[in-house]
Amino acid sequence: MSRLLTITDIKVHFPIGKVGFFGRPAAYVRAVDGVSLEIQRGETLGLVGESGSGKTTLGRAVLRAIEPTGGQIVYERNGASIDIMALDRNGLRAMWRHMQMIFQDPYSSLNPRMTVRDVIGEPLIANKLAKGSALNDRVIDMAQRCGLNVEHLSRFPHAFSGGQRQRIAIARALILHPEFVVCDEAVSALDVSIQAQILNLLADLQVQLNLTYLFIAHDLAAVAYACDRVAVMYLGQIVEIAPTERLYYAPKHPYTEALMSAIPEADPSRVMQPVFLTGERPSPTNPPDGCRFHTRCRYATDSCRKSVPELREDAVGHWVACHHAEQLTLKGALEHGVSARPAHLASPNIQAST
Amino acid sequence: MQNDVLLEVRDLHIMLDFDGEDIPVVQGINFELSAGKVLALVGESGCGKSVTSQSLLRLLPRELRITSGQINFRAAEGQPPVDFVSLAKDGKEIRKIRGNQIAMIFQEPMSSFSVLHTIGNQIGEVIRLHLKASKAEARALTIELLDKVGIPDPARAVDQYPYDFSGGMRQRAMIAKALACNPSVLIADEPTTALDVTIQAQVLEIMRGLKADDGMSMIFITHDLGVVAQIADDVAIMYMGKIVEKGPVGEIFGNPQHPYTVSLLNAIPRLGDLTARRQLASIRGSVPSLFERPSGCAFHPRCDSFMDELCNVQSPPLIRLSQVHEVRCFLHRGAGEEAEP
Amino acid sequence: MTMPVPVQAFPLRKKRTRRPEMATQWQLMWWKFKKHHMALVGMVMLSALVISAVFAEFISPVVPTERNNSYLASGPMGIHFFDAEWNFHFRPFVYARTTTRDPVTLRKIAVVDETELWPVEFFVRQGPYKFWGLIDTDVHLFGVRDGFVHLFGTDSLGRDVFSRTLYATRISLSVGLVGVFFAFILGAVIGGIAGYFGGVIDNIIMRLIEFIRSVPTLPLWLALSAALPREWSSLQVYLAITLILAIIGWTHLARTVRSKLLALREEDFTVAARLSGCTDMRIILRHLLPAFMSYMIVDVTIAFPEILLAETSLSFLGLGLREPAESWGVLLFAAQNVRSISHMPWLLIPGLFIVIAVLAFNFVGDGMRDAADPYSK
Repeated sequence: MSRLLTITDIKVHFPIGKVGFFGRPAAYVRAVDGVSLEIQRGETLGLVGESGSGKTTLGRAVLRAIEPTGGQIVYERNGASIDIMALDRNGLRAMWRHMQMIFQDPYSSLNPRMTVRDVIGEPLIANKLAKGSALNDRVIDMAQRCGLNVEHLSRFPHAFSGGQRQRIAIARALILHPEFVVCDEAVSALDVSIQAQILNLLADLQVQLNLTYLFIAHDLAAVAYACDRVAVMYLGQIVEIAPTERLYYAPKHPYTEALMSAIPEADPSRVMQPVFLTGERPSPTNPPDGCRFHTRCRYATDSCRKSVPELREDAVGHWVACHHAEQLTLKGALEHGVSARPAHLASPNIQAST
Repeated sequence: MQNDVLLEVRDLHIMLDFDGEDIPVVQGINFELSAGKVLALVGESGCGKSVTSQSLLRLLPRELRITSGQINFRAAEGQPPVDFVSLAKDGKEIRKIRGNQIAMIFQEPMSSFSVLHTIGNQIGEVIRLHLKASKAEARALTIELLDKVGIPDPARAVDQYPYDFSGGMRQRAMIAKALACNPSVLIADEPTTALDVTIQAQVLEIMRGLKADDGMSMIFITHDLGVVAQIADDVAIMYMGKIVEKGPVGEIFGNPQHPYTVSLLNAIPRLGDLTARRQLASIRGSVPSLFERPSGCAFHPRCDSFMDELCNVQSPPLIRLSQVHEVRCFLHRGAGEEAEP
Repeated sequence: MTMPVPVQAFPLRKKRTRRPEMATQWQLMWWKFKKHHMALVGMVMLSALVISAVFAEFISPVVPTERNNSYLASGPMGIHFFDAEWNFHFRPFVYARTTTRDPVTLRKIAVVDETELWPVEFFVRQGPYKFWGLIDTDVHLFGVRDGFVHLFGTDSLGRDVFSRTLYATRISLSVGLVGVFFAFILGAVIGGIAGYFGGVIDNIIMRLIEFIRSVPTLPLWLALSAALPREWSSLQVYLAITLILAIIGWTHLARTVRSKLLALREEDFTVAARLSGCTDMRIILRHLLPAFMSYMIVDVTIAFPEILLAETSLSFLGLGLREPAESWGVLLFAAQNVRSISHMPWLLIPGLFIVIAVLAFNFVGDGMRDAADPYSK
């Protein structure tokens, strides 16, 4: 696989509070604080983390939908490396033909005053790529690929359910045939049965259109299903990146271990025994010194309080930012549950009992 | 009503008043909550689970009203049950029970507390109201409760405002408030949906502790089947206002009988499948709107086992597959005794 | 493989004839507006006023400058269908008036003569006038051929109050309209710039707005209108007054536009539009403007009565419009003294029209506010 996108030391800091007459910021929310990643062409990279991790901000920063405060983004296209941060407004608009985004909320990401046809077709019009019947044909083609009918095109978004609106949003994102799509919690707001539909749709479209996905989500089970590799974020930084199976079954970072242990498995015979994190999540305006996770980590030592661990490759393709990665043996997702219930409760065919 | 059943819902019907038109939202549901057990009401959006949970304490907004059925609550062993439907909607009797014998916690911890009063003030209010305690007694009890739910430094927390707390803390405080008067039943309406997964694990642990240590009976409303598997003893699956399957959690997960239940279980991604990379089976179509209810069985347009001339014409009866497992589907006709339609 | 998705019904569909899924924003707004009964009443009232304004010359029985010396300072003349002996007349009539001198005050007064009936005729041809100053015609909606009819009475010069009120409706409503138009343009542009660009520009504009709002309006208006040169024609004065009124009125609108824009800027669909390659101009025109258009219309509907009342106040104080441009306020100016109010209370009827107009706009504004966001709940 070849590299598609290289992100180096991206930072996104939001000013908050005002001091003085001219309003200099009192503090900064360090939503993304030094993230480096490589995304390979054709893969689905998952990005997980809890609230305050910065994953949504990172997703938008990668496209420069939010301006990063610092760092580098390099996009490989046709053998050439394009420095995204150096592009001007027009250059960025041209790049957005190749990098797109699907948003979380299907209710606010579509302009309610435009018909579905207009919504899907707008990128073609805005980029002056098609008009008239050619435009219509392309819109119909993409809509049908996303599971919409031609009669849907003249309606307005409010007539559709959440899952259908998300299909409209997907059609809009893909009409320009981009290479790279950021799925920002694209299925989180949908019902369970619809999530499955949309996840399957995204998988099919990836094959049909040769797409690379950055899949941002907080539902760890969905990420496990959809992604080839997963990156875990905590308080604005990446703590671990690994192929999906390894991350879930053999994590190397204590935070990942805690996350995996907290996933409620839909199997009543396996009672969860989560690793409970002590304390509260620190504020992104004032992250702890040293390893940001040390305030809540049960393996923390002095060195964790003092020095920041680097994100280094501990095994092939498995990166972790922890001073003790080699020494720790952590439990994977399936090792936490203990069959606390008697076996017969888990098996099928319960006989009629009194 | 059996002796160990605390709360029983019989043939409950709830209607929505939309501009003069009456739309059925809940159509004749039956379930029981036994002492010390957790009953999960599960379903996707539009199934009526939240409406049902609100109706239990007569908290429905004006547009929704109970048109028939019973909600029987037995306050203590040996006492005769009281039918909430027969009580005045915001009358003295039901208010004596709310927060006192039956408590409720909600999904959004941010909006469940007033920003103008301290946590201690708000929890103390419940105590002083129902238990007629003095301010000092209420404060002491509040500190105890905050400690019980795992809020650090409760003596200081009692004087803090809700905005000082994080989401997980607020949810714990809400649980503390619910426990203030030692209720026998706790109704939890999607209590962990808005929380991060590690916080959810902590809250679920508190609730498991309540069940194990205090024998708390709970009605747990959620759409997350993983959470159901972890906390529930009995499960009722709802679809478009009816319970389509009901039984113990092991039965529902291990031996699902209704096509909707089966599809739902196949549609959720599971950790054990990482290596297998099983294709997620989705359910075609989407939940119809309340105004476009399909004829016969409401699930028939999306059902893989659809039988023409039957499922789209008649409403399937409730069939008892065993003493504890019921399903509402024509597929199982003859497999058990048929209850009311 | 992806499955075709069945058509999802729109949850709020009530009547079978409606197709809400195809409805534009305006249709949805209209449907919501129709539910608000007071607003519909307001619309009817407004329509009546607008019709009177547009067809003022046609509806008035006489030209307002005409003086009727036989009926000075006299009250409203009633229209009857039944005469003194309770006979029904198909054609309505007014009783004749004869002029005599009051023996005590020696003033001319008009006395009702029940023996003579002046029939009211419709589409009467008398009293030529120019319709909107353009078309020569002499057809009036109703009138009395051999006598006169004064529905609202006359003033001390014998001018028909009814006709004057109708002509004034045209002036008052158009002042409101023009004033609101100027305020709209100013508010939308300035508020739009503040909201879309934010930062320093936004800061400066907001401080400017605050400064303007902190100046007391009435003294400001008085000062500005007193500064208008006496030599200006009534048309120039008219435009100047509307501009003055607009200068204060735009601030409220600008704030609304700005806050709406600041919010909409962050909405996902705006970000999506940017990522789709839309230029700023396209985003403003195609995405943001339609979104807050409905709120602007609400604001405009509320601003209208404010400007109306402002103009009335100015004219009432003698510093607004000048003759021959007469608004309701100018008419009320003539009724300012105690003598008028005690002897000619019908001169205050234009005040009633003001009340009706302001009420009507408020009702409609209420309904529009409810309908403004058809996509919320």
